[in-house]
Amino acid sequence: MIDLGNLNALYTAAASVARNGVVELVSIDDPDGARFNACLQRLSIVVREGDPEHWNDLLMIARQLRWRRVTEPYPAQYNQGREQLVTELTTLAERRKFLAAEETRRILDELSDAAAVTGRTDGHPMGQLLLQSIEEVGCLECAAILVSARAAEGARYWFHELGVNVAIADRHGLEGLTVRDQAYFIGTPRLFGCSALTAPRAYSLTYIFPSWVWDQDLPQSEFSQVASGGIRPRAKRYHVGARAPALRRCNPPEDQLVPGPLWARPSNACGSAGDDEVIARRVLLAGGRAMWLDQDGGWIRTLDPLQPVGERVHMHDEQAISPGMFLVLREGETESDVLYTRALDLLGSATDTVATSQGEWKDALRSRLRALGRRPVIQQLSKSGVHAARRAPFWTARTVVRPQSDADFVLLLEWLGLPPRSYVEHANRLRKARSQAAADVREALEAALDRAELGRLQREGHIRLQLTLDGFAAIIAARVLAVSPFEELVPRHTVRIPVQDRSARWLE
Amino acid sequence: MVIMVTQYGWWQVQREDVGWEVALPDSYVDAASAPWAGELLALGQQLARYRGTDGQQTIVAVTLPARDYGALFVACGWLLSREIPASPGWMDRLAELTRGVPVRMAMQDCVVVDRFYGCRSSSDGMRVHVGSSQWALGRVVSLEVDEDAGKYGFGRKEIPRPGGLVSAYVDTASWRRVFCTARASVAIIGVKSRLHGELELRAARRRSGRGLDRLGDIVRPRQRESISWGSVIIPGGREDLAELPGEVALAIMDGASAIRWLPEIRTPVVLAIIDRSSADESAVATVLQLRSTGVPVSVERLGWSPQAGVEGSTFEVPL
Repeated sequence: MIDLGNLNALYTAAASVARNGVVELVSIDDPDGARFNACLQRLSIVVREGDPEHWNDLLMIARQLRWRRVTEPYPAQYNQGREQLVTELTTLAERRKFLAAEETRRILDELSDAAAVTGRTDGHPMGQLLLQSIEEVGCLECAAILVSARAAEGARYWFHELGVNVAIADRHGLEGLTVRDQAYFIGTPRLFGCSALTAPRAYSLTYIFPSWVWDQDLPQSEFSQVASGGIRPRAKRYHVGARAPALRRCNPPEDQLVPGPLWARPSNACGSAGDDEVIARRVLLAGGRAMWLDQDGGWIRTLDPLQPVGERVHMHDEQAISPGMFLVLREGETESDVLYTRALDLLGSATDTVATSQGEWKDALRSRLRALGRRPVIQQLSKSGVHAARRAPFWTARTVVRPQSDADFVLLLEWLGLPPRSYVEHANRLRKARSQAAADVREALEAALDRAELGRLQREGHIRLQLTLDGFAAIIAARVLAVSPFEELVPRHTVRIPVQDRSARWLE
Repeated sequence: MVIMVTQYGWWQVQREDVGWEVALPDSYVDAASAPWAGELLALGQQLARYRGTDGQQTIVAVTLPARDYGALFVACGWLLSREIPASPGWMDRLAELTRGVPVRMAMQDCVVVDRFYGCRSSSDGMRVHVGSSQWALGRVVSLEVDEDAGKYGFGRKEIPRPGGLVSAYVDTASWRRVFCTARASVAIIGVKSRLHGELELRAARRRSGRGLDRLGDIVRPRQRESISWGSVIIPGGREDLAELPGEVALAIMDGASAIRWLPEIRTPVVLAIIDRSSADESAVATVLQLRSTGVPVSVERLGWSPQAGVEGSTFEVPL
C-alpha cells in the first residue's frame, strides 16, 4: 500500500507540473553517437530497395547499439553485452561487404569503425552531464530514471563504484520511487511515455539526450487534450556543447529509435475472414518466442508482478497488448481451449445438452455473418439495442460462452429468431462452470507465482511456471517485446500458441 | 465550504480549503493532511446530486496521479450525500406486522436484522421482541419489514459514532439511516484486495474536534453475512464481470482492468478512474473510444471542477 506522505507528494508534484507546466529538455553534443547514427541512417536508405531480409540482422544489431548509446550513458564495463554487439556488427558487416556495391561497402566500413569508437568511449557526454547535475542538486534530492531494467542495473553498478548514492529507477519501476525535488530522465521524453509527465515522481523534470536524436518532443496524452484541467506541460530547451544543432523535424519513417523488428508487410492483408480464420497480429516475446494474437475483441491473461498477491494475474483486452506487458501462455494449446474442455467436464451429465445448445445459436450467428457480412450484422444488432454489437463476430468462437450482458444476449437470440430462455439457461450453466474452471486456474497460477522467481522474470523477461493442475503443466510468462503494426488473416488454431522465433533476439 | 455558481445552478461543495486528514489503522503518529481527499469527496457528492439527461448514461472520467483511495473517497462522498428518507409512522404499523416476518430495526447505537415476534408491555415499558431479544421500544429509532433481510444472515451491528468525515456531511440521525440501509447504490469495480485494504484508512475534516471515520464504515461493501451495506466491490480483472445489483446507480471503474468493462456497464452514472502512474494506456483508449460515440458534457455541469493535477471529462451515451 502506498505511503500516505508519498501520495500527498504525488498530488503536489502533479499539480506543480500542471500549474507551472515547464519541463527541461537538455540536448548535448555527442559527436561519436552522431557519426554512428549518420552511418546507420545512410545504410538504411541504401539497403531499402534491396533485399530487406538480407540486411535485417545487421540493421537490428546497429539499432540496438544506437539505442544503448542513448539510454545507457556510462562506461563500457557497466554496459552488459555492448562489446559482443560491436563484435557481431563488425563480423556481419564484413560478411555483407562481399555482395555489396562500392558505396555500401564504404558505409559498412564506416559503420564498423563508428561502432568500435562508441564501444570504446569511456567519457559518455550524457553520463558526465548527469553526474555533474546530481552533484549540483545533491544526491538525496534527486533521482535518475532510465528507460529499461538493464539500463538501470548498469547505472546502479556505475554509481556504486563512484560512491554516488542516488535513487535509480527504470520506466516500469517508478511505483516504488518516492517523490524527489528533481528527476533526471536519460533519453528523450517520448521513451518514458505520458505517465512520467502527468504522474511525475519529482517537482522538476529534466530529460537528457544527445542532440542528434530527431524526436525531441514531449508526448501528449490524448485525454489531456480533451479534459478539463488537462495537464499540458511546455518544454524549455537547453543545449550543452559547442553549438545548438538545427533540429531535424522529419522522422525517418523506416528508422525508429526504439529498436524494433523490421515487419514485412503481409501478403494476405485482411480480406474477409473464413470460418476457420481470424484477424491477428504477430507478437514477439522474450525468450526467443513469438505468437499470433487474435484481434477480435477478446481477453488474454496478463501478469502484473507489482499487484498484490492473489491479484497478479489479470485478463486484458487483446487489442491493448503492448511492449513491456507480461503474457501468461500455455504451450501447445490455447488456454481458452483447455478452460472450455474443463468447464464442460464440470457440467457432468449436462455436457452434451449445453454443448448442443451453444452450437445452435453460434451456428445461427455464424450463418448471419456469412450471409450479411460483419458490418451489416453489427449495424443491425446495434439498431436492435445490442450494446456490445461490435463484439458479435467474437461471440461465434467456441470458447466464448455468451455476451457479457443479459440484455444483449436476449436481444441477440431474438434477432436470430431463437427462443431465448433455454439458450440463456444453458449458457449460464456453462459460464458458471467456466468461472469455476478459471478460478481453479487463477489459484494454481498464483500458487505457482509464489514459488517462482519473479525477480528473474523482470530481469530476463520470461519464466516457466510449474502448475499442479491437469492440462496446465506447460505455462510460460513472457514479456511482450514487439507487436506488429500489421493485421493478417491466420488459421484460428495457430493463435495464442507460442512458438520458437529468433527474430526478437536483438531486441532483448 | 465553497459555493460554486455556474450557468447550471449553484452548489455548496466541500473543497480542500476545508482541509482533510487521514491515518492508517496502525499509525501511531498524528493524522496526515490529505488535500486531495476533499476533491474526491466533492466529486462523489456532486455525482449523487447530478441529474443527467433522460435515457442517457453519464460517464465521468478522471485521471489521478495515483489511483490509491480515489474510488473509496468518491464512494464516501456519494453515500453521505444521497437522500435516505426517514420512515415516519413505523410505530403505528407495528400492530399489523405478521409474526415471524424479517425486519430491519434501527436502534440508537446499533442495527438489528432478525425476525419479528411481537410487542409486549413490561414493568419498564413496552418491549419489542426481535430475534432472541426483547428491546425497549423507547430505544428503537425505526423498524421496517424487509423481505430480503436475512439473505446474508441475521444479526446485530454497532453503529460507529460519527467522526469528522461523516459529520461534515450528515447529522447523527441521517448517519444512522445511512448506516442501517442494505442497498448497494454504488458498485466499485477494481482490484478487490487493494480496495479491501484501503477500507481501513481513517479520515476526518481537520480541526473538526471529532475522531477519524474508517472508510469501510461508510462504504460498507456487501460481504458474506453482512446485515447492512451501501456498496458492492466487484473484481474487474477476471474473465467475466459479475452482474451489478439492480439498485446500483453509480459504477466506479477503478483502473485499467476495470475500465475495459466500461462499454458493458448500464448504470445511469459511471465514473472511470484512470491511474496516470500506470504505463498501461488502454484505459484512456477505452474511454476516448466510447467518448467518440457520445456527446461531451461540460464538467462544470456536475458542479465540480478538477483542481490542479486532476483531469476530468464528462460525456453522455445512450443507455
